[in-house]
Amino acid sequence: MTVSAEGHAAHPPSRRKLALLVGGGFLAASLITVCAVLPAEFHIDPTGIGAATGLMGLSAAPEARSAPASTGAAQPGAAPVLAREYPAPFRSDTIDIPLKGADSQGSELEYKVRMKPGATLVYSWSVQAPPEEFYYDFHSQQLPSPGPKEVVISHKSGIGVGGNGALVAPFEGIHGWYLQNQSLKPVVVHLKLSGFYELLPGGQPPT
Amino acid sequence: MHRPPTVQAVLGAVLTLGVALSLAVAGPVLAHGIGGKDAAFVASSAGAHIAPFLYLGAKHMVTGYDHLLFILGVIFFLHRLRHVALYVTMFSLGHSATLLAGVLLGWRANPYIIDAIIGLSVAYKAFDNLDGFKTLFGWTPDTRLMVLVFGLFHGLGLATKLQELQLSRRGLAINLVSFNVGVEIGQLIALSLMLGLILLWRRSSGFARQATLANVLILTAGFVLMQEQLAGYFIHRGA
Repeated sequence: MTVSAEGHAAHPPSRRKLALLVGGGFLAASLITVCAVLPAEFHIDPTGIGAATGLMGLSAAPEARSAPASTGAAQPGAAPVLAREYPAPFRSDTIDIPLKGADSQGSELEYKVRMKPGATLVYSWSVQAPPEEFYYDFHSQQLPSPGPKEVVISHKSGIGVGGNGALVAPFEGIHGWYLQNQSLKPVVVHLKLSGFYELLPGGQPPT
Repeated sequence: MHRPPTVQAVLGAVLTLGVALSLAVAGPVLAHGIGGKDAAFVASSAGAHIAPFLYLGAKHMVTGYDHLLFILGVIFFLHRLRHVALYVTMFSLGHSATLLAGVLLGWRANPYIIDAIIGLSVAYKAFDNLDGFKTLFGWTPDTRLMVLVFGLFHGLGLATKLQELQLSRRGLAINLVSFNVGVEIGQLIALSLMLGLILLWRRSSGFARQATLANVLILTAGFVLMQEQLAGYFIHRGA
């Protein structure tokens, strides 16, 4: 037996049968390609089978699934998202917020920004005030409120004259600080913001 | 004459069906690349990493159904170990040459076209197994030469996949040779498994008939691979 005689069927099919088998194989392959591979891999569905069987979902999935992941809040039980991308432009703002003495109107203020769920804000604030005489409450408020009850999450509050950190918005809403000057002298809060948010006029929520 | 199927026949049928039909459900668009954490490793590795690249090469081969189907087709009707060694050597020479040269010289082929040709190679070998060239055209191209030539394309596919990752120039030659040796190890593992199963299958009485069907299935799978890659080429060409 020579090498070239090896490697073939001992009883190859006849000409007629071979043509049928090869033709059938090609036809079957084309059917698989058109009915299954095209909808599942390329989101092309000439037969409608892809939509009927849900195969189209396989190829539609990447974009549809990444959209909420990039802007959306963390799903319960899901692995934490460590890297995020946002369609919104990146911005940085430096804001000076003057507060009057504690004995007059204007010694307290809410300063907030509007954020989409999952959006990130990096902040740094400081105030030249006596260390025991300034109060703040950093919190998120859901907008629009889903029911009569307001959804508010307080992140950090207490007496202090500054803070640095970051916030990933837990929901669509307004996020920021309640600031209260407890000293008798007027003070100015220096606030630096970077990230993905919209400024609200005067830092106040629309009422 | 009707006999109940033997264990070997069932094994053989499962083997071919499994490999062939898994195509319908498996398969990311680029037949199979190097993905996920493996890709991250390759991209971040500078300097020589022999063991990891050995492993990646072996894994790429063992999990690469396009390469596996071709090897299955090549050994399907080989009876002597000498011939198995000869054909597998031809295939290895071919894909090693283009893998090494392709990466070192920076050849970039269109991955869809390469993968379509690899799909065609699967269909070719199944057609050849059925003695289709002699029956239909009265002339059979030299199988050894064809296996070598298609081996060149398989290697070009490997080189293209590997270059899609950012390979560091530092330690490139050693990593590349490691990957190549890994490919051969993986091929040997897959080959041994398939050869064992085929040898069992051949002992069953229904082998001749089932072998024809099996090769038609391999042929079909090769066509699917080819069509999928051609579709990818034409769809993504404009993009």
